[in-house]
Amino acid sequence: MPHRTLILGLESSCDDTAAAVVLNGRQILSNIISSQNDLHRRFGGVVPEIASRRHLEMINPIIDEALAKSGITLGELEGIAVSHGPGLVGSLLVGVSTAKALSYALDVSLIAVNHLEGHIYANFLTGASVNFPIICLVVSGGHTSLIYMQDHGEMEVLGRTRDDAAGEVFDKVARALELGFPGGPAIENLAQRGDSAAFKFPRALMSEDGKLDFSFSGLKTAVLNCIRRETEQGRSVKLEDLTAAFQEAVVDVLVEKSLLAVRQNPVKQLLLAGGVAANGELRRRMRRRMDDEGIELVIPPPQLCTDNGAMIAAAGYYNLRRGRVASQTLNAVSSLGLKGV
Amino acid sequence: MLLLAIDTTTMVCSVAVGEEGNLMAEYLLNINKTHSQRLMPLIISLLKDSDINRKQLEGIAVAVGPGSFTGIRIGVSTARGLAQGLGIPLIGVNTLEALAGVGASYPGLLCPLLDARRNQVYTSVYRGGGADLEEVEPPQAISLANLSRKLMSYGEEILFLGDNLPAFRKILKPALTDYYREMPFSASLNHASSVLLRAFVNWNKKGATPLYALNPFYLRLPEAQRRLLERQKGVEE
Ligand SMILES: [Zn+2]
Repeated sequence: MPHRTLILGLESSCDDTAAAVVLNGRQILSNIISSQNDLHRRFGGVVPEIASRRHLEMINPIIDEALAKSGITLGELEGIAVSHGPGLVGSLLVGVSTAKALSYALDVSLIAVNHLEGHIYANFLTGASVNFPIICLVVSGGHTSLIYMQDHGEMEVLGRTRDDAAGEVFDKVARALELGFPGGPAIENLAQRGDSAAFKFPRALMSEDGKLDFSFSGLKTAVLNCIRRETEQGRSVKLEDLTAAFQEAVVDVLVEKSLLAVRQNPVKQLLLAGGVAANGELRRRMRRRMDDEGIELVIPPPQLCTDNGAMIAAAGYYNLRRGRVASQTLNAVSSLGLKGV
Repeated sequence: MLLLAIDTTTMVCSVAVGEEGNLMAEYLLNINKTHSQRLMPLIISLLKDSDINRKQLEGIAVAVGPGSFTGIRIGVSTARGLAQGLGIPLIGVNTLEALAGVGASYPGLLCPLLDARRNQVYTSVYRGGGADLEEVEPPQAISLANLSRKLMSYGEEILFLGDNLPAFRKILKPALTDYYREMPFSASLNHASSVLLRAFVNWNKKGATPLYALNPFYLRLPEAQRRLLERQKGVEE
């Protein structure tokens, strides 16, 4: 590999169209994201067909913008990394088709990146040194998983959610409270001024000995029922208290399960990844507990926790270094697992 | 001008390459498999077998729909990616016009038909007889019954094209009686060679589309948006 390896990373797995140029898997030269939030807000969630259409409109201009911002030309790229799953298949296909065509046109490597793997590699863009083996908690609208990484590309899922993802529950609670979409930031804002002891919500699977799986559907139902009950009885829910209690229940589970994972495995670092990792309360509580435990916590800045192209380019760089190049038969896989990454 | 043409807007995955609209090579798969995995390998073989270096290409022609939403996007995003990477222009071609183009020499009315589901077809009507196709009915989604009524009023023979004719014939033939004509099946598929020729004809008339202006022609709104509009209309009434 040349001394200066420039990778273009493309991401279109859900409702953000993103492209980024990353140098040597570590240094972001540009990171452009076109959010579709405004487009989906009135539907209360992401509409796949609408998302796919917007991706196709945006992806080439976003690539141009990423190149212009980084000051490099297409000809200087070593490879094109693309997120090919998991995600919405129609959305993924736009990124995958574009990456395949572009890599063929430029005669450069095509690199397939698992979207979850991409989230984990956002940690390599923080400047912190990552020392394997590590554990990463990936927590987003689509995933809640504890992943053990022996080395680059060697991942093992230690635990995952058995039902809803944590971010999904944030969105659903926000929708029930008519706080808009996406729900995470709105809930976090309200919760800052609330009393988390005002409501008692369940923490699922905490009692199951040594198990690292998650479950959030019980919590979701409890919160939604509570909202209904309060409204039916004509009481106006104190949003601050309710969101604070809900958020604390989610954070409790995420922190405790992570603690369990680092105790069960020979690791010195815990990485956080995914959109929910942008949550301030989770970051603070996790920091405190890991400090006490003597575990170094690495967290990407909030803008690298949500979907972006830089994380895909970073993961792509390490795949390329291991000679893992994709062929032109690459397809989008909506339920792509971490196995074989 | 050396053009690569792509059509993935229907079940058929087809690519072609040619100079000044003259076909040099064409590959076509009608095997009902996902286009995403096959399109690029098909393009690579086509150019390799034709001894063409990708850098020699001077433009990309692509069928933009109507058709399968996913198929349209695979074709258009591939075409846009190739054009962006190679720094060459794009020419979009309406899928119905390309399908009608297969029978362009027919000196009468041409009616390409694509399955639009929800008991409708995507169609338009052209008058053939030379290189130019004159649009008589604009692209639309319509039921076969309404289409037959519309076509009867022309009072002349109509040549139908499309890979679903066996299913549509049952309704159209009795309704249109002696006016019904159909293209043989193998010629009735969406051919990239026809996209190539239409692109060349349109290029001479209108020039290329700027990269980001080449947009798909879905003809239909996303289902969720359509329902939202209907609800809003209901509220207003
Ligand atoms: Zn994500």
